[in-house]
Amino acid sequence: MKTSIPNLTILFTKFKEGDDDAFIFFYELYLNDLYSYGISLGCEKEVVKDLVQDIFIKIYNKQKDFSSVNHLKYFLFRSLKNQLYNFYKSKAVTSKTDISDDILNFSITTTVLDNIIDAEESIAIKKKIEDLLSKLTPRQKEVIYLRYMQNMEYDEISEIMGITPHATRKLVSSSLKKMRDEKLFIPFLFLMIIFS
Amino acid sequence: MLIDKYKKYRSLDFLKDENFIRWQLLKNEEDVVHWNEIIESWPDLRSSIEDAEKLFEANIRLNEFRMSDSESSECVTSLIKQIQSKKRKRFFKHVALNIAAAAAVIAIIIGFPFIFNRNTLQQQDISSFAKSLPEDKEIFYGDTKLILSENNTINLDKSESLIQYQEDEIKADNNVIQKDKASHFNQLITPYGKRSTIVFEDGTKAFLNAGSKLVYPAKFSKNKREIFLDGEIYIEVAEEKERPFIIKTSKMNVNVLGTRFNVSAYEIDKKSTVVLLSGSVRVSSNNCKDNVVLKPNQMYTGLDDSHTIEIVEANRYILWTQGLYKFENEEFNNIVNRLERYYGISIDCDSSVSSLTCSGKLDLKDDMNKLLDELTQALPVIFIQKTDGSYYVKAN
Repeated sequence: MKTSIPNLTILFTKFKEGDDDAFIFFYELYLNDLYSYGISLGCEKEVVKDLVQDIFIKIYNKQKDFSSVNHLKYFLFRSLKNQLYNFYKSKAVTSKTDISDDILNFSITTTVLDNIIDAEESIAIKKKIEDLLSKLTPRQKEVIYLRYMQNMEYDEISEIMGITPHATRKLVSSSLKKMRDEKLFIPFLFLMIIFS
Repeated sequence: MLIDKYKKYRSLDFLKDENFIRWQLLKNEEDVVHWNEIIESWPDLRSSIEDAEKLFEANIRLNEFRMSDSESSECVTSLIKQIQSKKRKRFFKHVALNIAAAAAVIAIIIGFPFIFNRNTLQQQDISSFAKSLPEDKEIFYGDTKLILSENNTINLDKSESLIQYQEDEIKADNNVIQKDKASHFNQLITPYGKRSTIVFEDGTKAFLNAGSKLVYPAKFSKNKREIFLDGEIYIEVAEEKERPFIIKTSKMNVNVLGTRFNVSAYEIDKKSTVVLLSGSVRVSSNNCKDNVVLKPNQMYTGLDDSHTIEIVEANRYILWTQGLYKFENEEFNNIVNRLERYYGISIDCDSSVSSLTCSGKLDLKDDMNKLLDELTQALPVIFIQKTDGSYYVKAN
């Protein structure tokens, strides 16, 4: 028996042509990813849901000139982050000169599924991953999430983060440094103290 | 040395190794080179590392926040409403898109109205309708019942009934009913001790085992064919690429990409199973976030939050449709449950015999007493009939 897989290319073409069903298809396709991103930024469920809907309504009424499905996805993510930022900024009572990061704070929640892993092992694995990730700043976590969980390209990530692609790569490499075994430093310091 | 440590690792141990985790999460050049070197220099580590990679991909999720199905369907409905209020055109072109198989999409789309029209929005989801039905244990006793609407129930007293849905009418054994007399969702209830066969308008044929309830629309919608099951059916689905066939149970969804398989999902059982004979089906559990595509001769068993897949002789699982029951290393308790349902009798199983494992074949068309006799001869058990007509089985 043949299986029929929805051809994303065909659906995307229809979407750009203004087909309603294709429009709803892409809404359903990206709804949970966008929701997940919004929650990870520390925003409230209902706010995220409303803003995602607003973004889609805007797209519905406009010319859809996206170059590819990935472009659409990146556009949605970037729009969501901007909308969330604007929303919470206007709610912030404070007048201090904040760094934009304080308004949206990215965090990572690790889940270990149980496909061939038993409960005890998955708890140990989860702890290990959490310990490792806890060394990172919110921005570093966000970059890793966009790269690993959402499979975005560096130039897309850099637009979403509001930095240059070069700065994005630096963010990843600094994440790397932090995630390396730092145990080597400890005996070094110890030696330093003895000899000083 | 690091490599000595790795040589002692099982695949799971890699998932707890910082270097491995970092490599999998970042896929940065340095780590990629490092690990490729390890695999090249020590090729016997390749398979455990590759298994570890697969495990990581299959199990590790970051920020897996999802809305529940009802939440997402609310969002979709709300979006559709907002858009409709802006649209001026009354006529909506709809494209028959086959949404049956995309892995990323399936869990979201099942159960959603896909056609842009008012009727679809008012149509209730079949699962919510099925769950809203009154819980009535009595329906599984007595006659087979075909419920066409609130006031219209047809009782069928044969031990094996045949129900056929045709273009304008519904045939149920000797009864003929006009289709417009049936409401949107119909129910077929096969009590203990009986079996029925139902043929849908599209040609799909389903055999219901004893103690089963099937909820289905009198007419399938334009873009999907959905039914709700509490019990066991063997089903031969008519192939229609434009309309996926979905069987929903309270614990899982079985999405048909092919044609012949058995679903056992009795509400009161803890386990649910799907056995595929030919074609291809996708099973998604309502509890876990994953879903599985089955190949022929594979059996999916769902229990609480987890599931297993094993290779089986699929034909064995549909012998009940021919009145046969074949089992291998089956717990006596389970065999007794099957007999209870099939014959519509109550059998109390003593703990001394319930965990006996047995292998064999029974002809269920036999007179029940003859069958119990056979069991008594084959196994160290004895069946005693109590004064109220129920049975008790204990060690001989």
